Amino acid sequence: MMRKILFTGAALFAATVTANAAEKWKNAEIATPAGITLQPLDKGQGYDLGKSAASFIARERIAFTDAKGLTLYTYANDTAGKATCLDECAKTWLPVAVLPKVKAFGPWSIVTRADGVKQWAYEGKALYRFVNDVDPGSVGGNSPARFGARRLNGAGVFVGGGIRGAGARGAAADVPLPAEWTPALAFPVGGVKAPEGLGVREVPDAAVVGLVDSDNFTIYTTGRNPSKVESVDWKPVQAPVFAKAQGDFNFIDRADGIRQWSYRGRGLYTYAGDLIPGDANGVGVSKDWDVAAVVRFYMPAGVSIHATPGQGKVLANEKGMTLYRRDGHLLPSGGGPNLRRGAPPRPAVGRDIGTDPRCGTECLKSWHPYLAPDDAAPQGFWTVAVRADGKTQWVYQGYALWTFDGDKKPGDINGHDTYDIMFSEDKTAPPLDAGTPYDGAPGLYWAIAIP
Amino acid sequence: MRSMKRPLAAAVLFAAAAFPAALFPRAAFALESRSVVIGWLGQATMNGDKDCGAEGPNPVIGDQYLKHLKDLGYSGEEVEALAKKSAEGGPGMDPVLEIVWMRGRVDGKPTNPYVYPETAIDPKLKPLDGKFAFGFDLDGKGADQASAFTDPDTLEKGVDHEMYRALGCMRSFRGSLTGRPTYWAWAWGQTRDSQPAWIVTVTGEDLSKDGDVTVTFDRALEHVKSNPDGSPKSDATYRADPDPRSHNVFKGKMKDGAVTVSEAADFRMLQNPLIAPELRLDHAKVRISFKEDGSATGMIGGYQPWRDLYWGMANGAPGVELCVTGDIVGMYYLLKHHADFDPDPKTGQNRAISATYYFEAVPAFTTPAQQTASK
Repeated sequence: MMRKILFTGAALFAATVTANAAEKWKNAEIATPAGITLQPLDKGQGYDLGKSAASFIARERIAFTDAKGLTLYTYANDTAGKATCLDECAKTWLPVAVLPKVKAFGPWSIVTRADGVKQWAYEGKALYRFVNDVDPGSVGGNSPARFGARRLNGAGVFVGGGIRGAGARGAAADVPLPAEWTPALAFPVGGVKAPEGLGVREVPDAAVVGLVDSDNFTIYTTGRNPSKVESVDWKPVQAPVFAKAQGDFNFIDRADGIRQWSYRGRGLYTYAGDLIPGDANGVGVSKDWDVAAVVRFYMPAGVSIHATPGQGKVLANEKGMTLYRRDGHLLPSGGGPNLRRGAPPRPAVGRDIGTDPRCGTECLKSWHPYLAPDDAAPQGFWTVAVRADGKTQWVYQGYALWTFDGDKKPGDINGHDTYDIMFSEDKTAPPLDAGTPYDGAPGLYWAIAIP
Repeated sequence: MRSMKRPLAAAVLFAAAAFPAALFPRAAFALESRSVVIGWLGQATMNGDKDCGAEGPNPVIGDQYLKHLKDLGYSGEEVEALAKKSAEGGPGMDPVLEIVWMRGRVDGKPTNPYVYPETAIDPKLKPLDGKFAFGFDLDGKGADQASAFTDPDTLEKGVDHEMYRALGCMRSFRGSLTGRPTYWAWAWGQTRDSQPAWIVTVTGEDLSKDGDVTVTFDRALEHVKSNPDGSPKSDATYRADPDPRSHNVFKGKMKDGAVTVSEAADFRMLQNPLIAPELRLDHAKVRISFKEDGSATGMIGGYQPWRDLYWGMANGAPGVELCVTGDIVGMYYLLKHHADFDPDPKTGQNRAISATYYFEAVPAFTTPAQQTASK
């Protein structure tokens, strides 16, 4: 029911999305048509982290997904503009249908199948969904939730269960994805090949896919003349002597003798204030500096990324006030929510919980839904949910967003890590509604919404 | 105390430069402060050989599980057969665990006992039987309270530490200040490097002399910094988290290098859901002893909501029960029965239990958090 509510909104705004998305594409934004969203895959979903520190889990793959977060695929036997998976094949690999009134734009085109169905194609390749995928973030029918708490998956089958379930004697091995099928990915970005020594990675703190150096530190660019950049905070990214220019990458021979990489005609730099890979602390230091972005993720008008004293960057509203998500507790491996950036949002949990935080009347006096305007045009990681009162609430990566009265100024995160512990002392054991499945005693908590 | 002059002098200069005047009741330049960062925190225990009676502590979890099978109505032969099958291993769910991890019963149907502890039979685990326990006289009843403990260090009578009594015969909660209890060693080992450090600052006019002091507990933005051998690093700098939920102020007195909080106050610090999302101690009292090298040991005691503690174990159940804590539902009943504060107005059931935690800390510097630029 909640899933239906969450994504009904996406269809409502289809026409608006198309118009806006076409404009955004010109600005190198990862745009998605109505009904198509983005979903990180693999460990970036927060499952099966082992002893990895969640802070350092780079999202290696971001897939295009349907409105439920289910992965989309391309078929090797298809040629550009033609879908050949029909009849029996189409019972397993479902065409991604185009919503009414939605038009093609940028890399998104529409293929008319032999059976008359209009099907989305990305960069010319028709898109499909795999019938065995029932949970957000699944690939080849392998649900990431099998590493988490025992839960009913989208097909009504129990999966996961940690030590109580499959984990007790070892989780099942992955079912291999048939060789001719490939997840349709928004990231890694196709067509951008960085020279040796540079890379292209997601920089979540800046909501972009951008350039990084050989240590995976964020690279910045500026419109300033390199000879005018005198701050020791900005270090030019040096190109090897024998490096060759390629594509958008070239060199600047500086007056100080340094041969500096340039991208799209601008010099490239690292920032001394970045301490770990993924930091983007140079953003906002000065207006004429920005991350060297290859493409940007969509952000609704008014939403910003704001720095906090201890938890890095968070999403913030028009006034710079921190946005939160309501999340289900997962037994942390070595700290979990206390880590910077916290545990990665899990793809199914936010959708399970929806817009009901289950925190009682008193709590709702302090926590307020972050409402979307009537003309909201969600795409990418953003969708909207229709609340019980008919209003629409912004949803980011499957999690409805909230603000907290206890925050008094931009950068405050005074609601972060606020827990509601849950267990029942009733001998009749009435159902305990945590909104999402659980294994041990469940808990719900407020967590900062991280970009 | 003499060897403390150098760090003290540094602390004076640092405090004057770094702390906002609003933190101090009087002019900042007139005050001296000393900070330490906590490098160990766990329940203050002092178990001995005879404090659980002639039969010793409660059974290990494996034996306890077999007892649960009997309590559920399995015959001796059936229990023996299940135990044998369990020991043999093999694919699929362990036959004993499959039953006992769902040992709650509602209308005869197996129920998750960790989420619904009242649906499981109270195994009636034994509490500790002893006269001494670390802690404080929280309720002020003193020696008149015959059932209360005596603190072995201060010799204060009427000490309230019912959490020690409740859990003192659970094997994973037994230990001493130096021989860490298994549960607390596990919990601290899991959380120390993954949760922000806790810093304690003592402020007074002249900390080399006896007199009034202010004691603050703050959460830092950084984790505890460690030496190569894993011990907490001395003289590192930590930024105090501006989050008001983890800022605690006590009034106390310095006497002979030891600080004692004279006025009880409520204590609240964000902790870790592995143990409890927050460490909440109502009517908390504190004592801290500084050593010549600037390090410190201390006790903080108060009334803690026992449901927080139970949930901290139950949310990781049943794996945590099997591998670390022992019988979690058994401890639910122990905590519930020994809770001694904050009665529920409807049921009369006490919602908090007296508890005392022991901490060790090394010298540190603190500074307010600095905001960074926004996008």
